[in-house]
Amino acid sequence: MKATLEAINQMQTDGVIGKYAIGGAVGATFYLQPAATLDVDIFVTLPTSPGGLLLSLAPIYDYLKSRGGVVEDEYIVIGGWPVQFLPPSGELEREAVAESVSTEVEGVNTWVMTAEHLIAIALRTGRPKDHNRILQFIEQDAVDRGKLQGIIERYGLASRWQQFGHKYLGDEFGGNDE
Amino acid sequence: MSKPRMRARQAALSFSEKIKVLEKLRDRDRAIAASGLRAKAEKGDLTLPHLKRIK
Repeated sequence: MKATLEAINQMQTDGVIGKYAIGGAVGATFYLQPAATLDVDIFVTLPTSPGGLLLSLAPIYDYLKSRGGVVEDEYIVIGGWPVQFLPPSGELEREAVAESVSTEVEGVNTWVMTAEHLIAIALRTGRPKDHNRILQFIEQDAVDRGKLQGIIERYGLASRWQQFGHKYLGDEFGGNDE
Repeated sequence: MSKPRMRARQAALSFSEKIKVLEKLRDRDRAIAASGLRAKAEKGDLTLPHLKRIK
C-alpha cells in the first residue's frame, strides 16, 4: 500500500489529479476492524479544461502505466493493489473528498473520507454490503451522529436513513427523529 | 476474548497496522482462489471422511 500511495501522491504533485481521498472498504478500515477487500477506491478530483469540461481518466491510466501500473478491467494495479479511480459523481462525494482527513500509511501521507461521509455514500449506494458496513460503524460507535444527520439532510437521504433504521435498528437510531 | 472486544481491539490498531492485515487477508483470498478449492467445493468434490461414515 505504501508504494500505491506514493505513486498516487506523485501523480498529484505532477498535476495529473487534484485532491483525492480513500473511500470504500479501505476507507472504512481507518475507523473499523480490518475486513477483507480486494481493491482500493480512490475518489479523485480531476483538472478541468479551460472550457470547464471534465477530462477523462485516461491521463491517470497513461501516467501510471508508464510507471509500471498494469490495467486489469476497471482497475489499475499499483504497488500490488488494484486501484479504482472514481471521479466524484455529485456534491456528496465532492464534499467527502474536500473534507477528508489526513493520515499516513507507513510514513506516506494520504487522505481518508470521514466516517460520516462513508456512511452517507454507503447509504446512497444501498447494496447489502453497504448496509453491512453502516451497521459496523454503528455497532462500533465510530460515527458522529450529529454530523451524520447533517449530511443526510443536506443530500436528501433522510428517507433512505429512515428505511435503513426501520429495517435494521427499529427506531433506535435511524427512525423518526423529527 | 469476546468477539466485540476483539473487534474493538482490531479497530484500535493504527491505519498502517490495519493495512498490513488487509494485505494478509488479500493474499489469503488470492491463494484460495488460485488453489481452485472453492471450485471443487462447489462441484461437491470435497467431502470429509466422517461425513462419508455418517452416510
